[in-house]
Amino acid sequence: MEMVNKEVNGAEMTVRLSGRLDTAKSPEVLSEIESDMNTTTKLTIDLKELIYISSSGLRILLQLQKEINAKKGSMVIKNPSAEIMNVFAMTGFDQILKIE
Amino acid sequence: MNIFDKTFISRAHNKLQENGNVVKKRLDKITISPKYEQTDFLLNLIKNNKDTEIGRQKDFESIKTVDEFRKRMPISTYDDYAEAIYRMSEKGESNVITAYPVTHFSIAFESMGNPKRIPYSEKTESINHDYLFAYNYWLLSSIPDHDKSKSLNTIEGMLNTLPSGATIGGFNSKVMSNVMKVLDKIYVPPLEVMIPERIMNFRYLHALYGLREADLSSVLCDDNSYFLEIMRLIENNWRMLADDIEKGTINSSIQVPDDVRIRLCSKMRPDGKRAEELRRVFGNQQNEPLIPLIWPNMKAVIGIGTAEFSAYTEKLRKYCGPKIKFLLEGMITPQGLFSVPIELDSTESVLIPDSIFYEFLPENAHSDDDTVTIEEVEFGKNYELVITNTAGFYRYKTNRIVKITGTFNGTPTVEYLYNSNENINLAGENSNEYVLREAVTKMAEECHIDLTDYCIYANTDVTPARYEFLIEVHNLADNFNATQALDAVTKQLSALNPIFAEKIKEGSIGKSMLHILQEDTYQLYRDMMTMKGASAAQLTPVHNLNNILRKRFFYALIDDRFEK
Repeated sequence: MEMVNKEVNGAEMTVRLSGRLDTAKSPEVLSEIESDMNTTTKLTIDLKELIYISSSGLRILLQLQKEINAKKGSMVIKNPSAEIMNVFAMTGFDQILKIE
Repeated sequence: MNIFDKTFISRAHNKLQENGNVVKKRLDKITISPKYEQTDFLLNLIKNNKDTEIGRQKDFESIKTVDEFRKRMPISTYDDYAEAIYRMSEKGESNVITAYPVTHFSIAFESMGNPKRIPYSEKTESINHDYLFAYNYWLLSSIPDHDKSKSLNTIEGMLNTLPSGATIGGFNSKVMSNVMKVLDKIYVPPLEVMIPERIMNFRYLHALYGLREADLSSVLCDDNSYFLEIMRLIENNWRMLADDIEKGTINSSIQVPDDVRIRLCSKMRPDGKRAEELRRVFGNQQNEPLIPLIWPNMKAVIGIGTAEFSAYTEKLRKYCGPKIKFLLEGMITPQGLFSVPIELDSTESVLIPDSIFYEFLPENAHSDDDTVTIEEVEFGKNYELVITNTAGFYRYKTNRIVKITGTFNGTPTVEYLYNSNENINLAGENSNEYVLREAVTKMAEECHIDLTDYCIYANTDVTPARYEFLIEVHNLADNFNATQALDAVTKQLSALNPIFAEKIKEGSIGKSMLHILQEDTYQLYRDMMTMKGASAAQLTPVHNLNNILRKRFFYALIDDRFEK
């Protein structure tokens, strides 16, 4: 199964991540998302199928949030598991990202 | 490079050489009699600030000697200035704590909490400009041909504006913004990247523009950890970088605002020859240092590489090989420039008598009243620096501990050791950042691991309390033996701090623990802090998890594969 499932509709992009987002996988995931970021101002990242996120994966979310902020767009993280939500809370990401 | 650029670079270098000679002569002169220079510096400062709010409050006009000043002014901390700084930065009030115009505020992050704004006056700017540009240039002039081609400038140049109209950001950014006209003549990347208005993928762009320039002569960075990161990015992405160089493009997956991308790409010529050179280097590379292979004319790396950044500098040396020199900048803080190196490749630097008025509080002093002045320090002893600067701080406790290593002319030379806020003291053993760093570095050597960085949590929730080491390692093997690493670090720390060993033996400190952090954790921390507004230049690595936010952050990112 692909780690990144991406739907682009004009300036809106929805990304569904699955599996483990770790050091090995992060570069290709970022590259896949970045290829449509120039035209995106509304980004939704669905983590329903994501079972693990490492520091490298968190850096991707931070990078995307920075880019969206720079364009005054919006980014929403959806459906994180309880474990991933715990990582967000511990690292302070819940204060930086909009999580639903 | 065209003839116009070559001529301009040559003139710019001549001017820098000229200024460098002047500043070097001045430094030689003022370091002969530091007591005289410091007295002159302080009394002038007091006189110039007699009509400020603080000057009137403390009756600066009546102060005629250094001793009177030290009696009149109490030792201070940031909290003593917080309200004044708020008025200056938000409301644009002047003559509050300094008479010198303050047109910029640097940001200092000392925890994960609210950043501190540090006033940066035009007077401070002028001093920094002299030493960071001109004097450093003079130091580099001992390297033949160091100035024949462009340098890679990786200093973050983004500045924001406060309600008062003053700028806020790194002080290096301020220094750079004041010489914008010449920046792109002597440095790559282009101005759109050096002084950006918006966020983009700076790391990739620094790597790309650096690699395009086969003739690069030096690299300028805030601190050496950033350049190390660029080198790792190059190793991991050289194919994409070579493709971009060949085509004269920036890969579409690299975040750059559309209008900036168009401007950058319009100025970028395809360079198939350089791309091929790079592919050959990376395709055939064995174990040789990488930097001389990709930049054969590289002469120097300039940046902060001492104390808490020393581990990063050592790794960079492996990329550089023996011929490339390091200009390890002296003690630079948002409060001012304390010292400059006296030679290349040395961690020793001389205090600058016309930059700051220094007092020295002996390490482990019982009272703040025990400070001594520059002529009273003793060789080999450690002191906390207490400073009076040109931006409104008077007898300010810096928490920075230096060792007096010798003298240059008549002025003390120092080596920065550690920040006393980072000490760990569970049972009277008082392990400072220096011994902790040494212990962890020696453990890494013993275990043959590529240590990225480390931090320590003093766990007082257990009985007996204990040290918990958290280390990040680059490319760690899955079968890494964490127990062996724990034994090694305990042994090293016991040798460096025998009281720690005694306390463990008598049971007042428990057996330490060691955890492995996920790769990229330190970079993530840095990214988070810069997102909150910290300047890369002022972010020092976290080594003591001495507040709950730091603790929660790093413990959330422990690599479970190595937990038993």
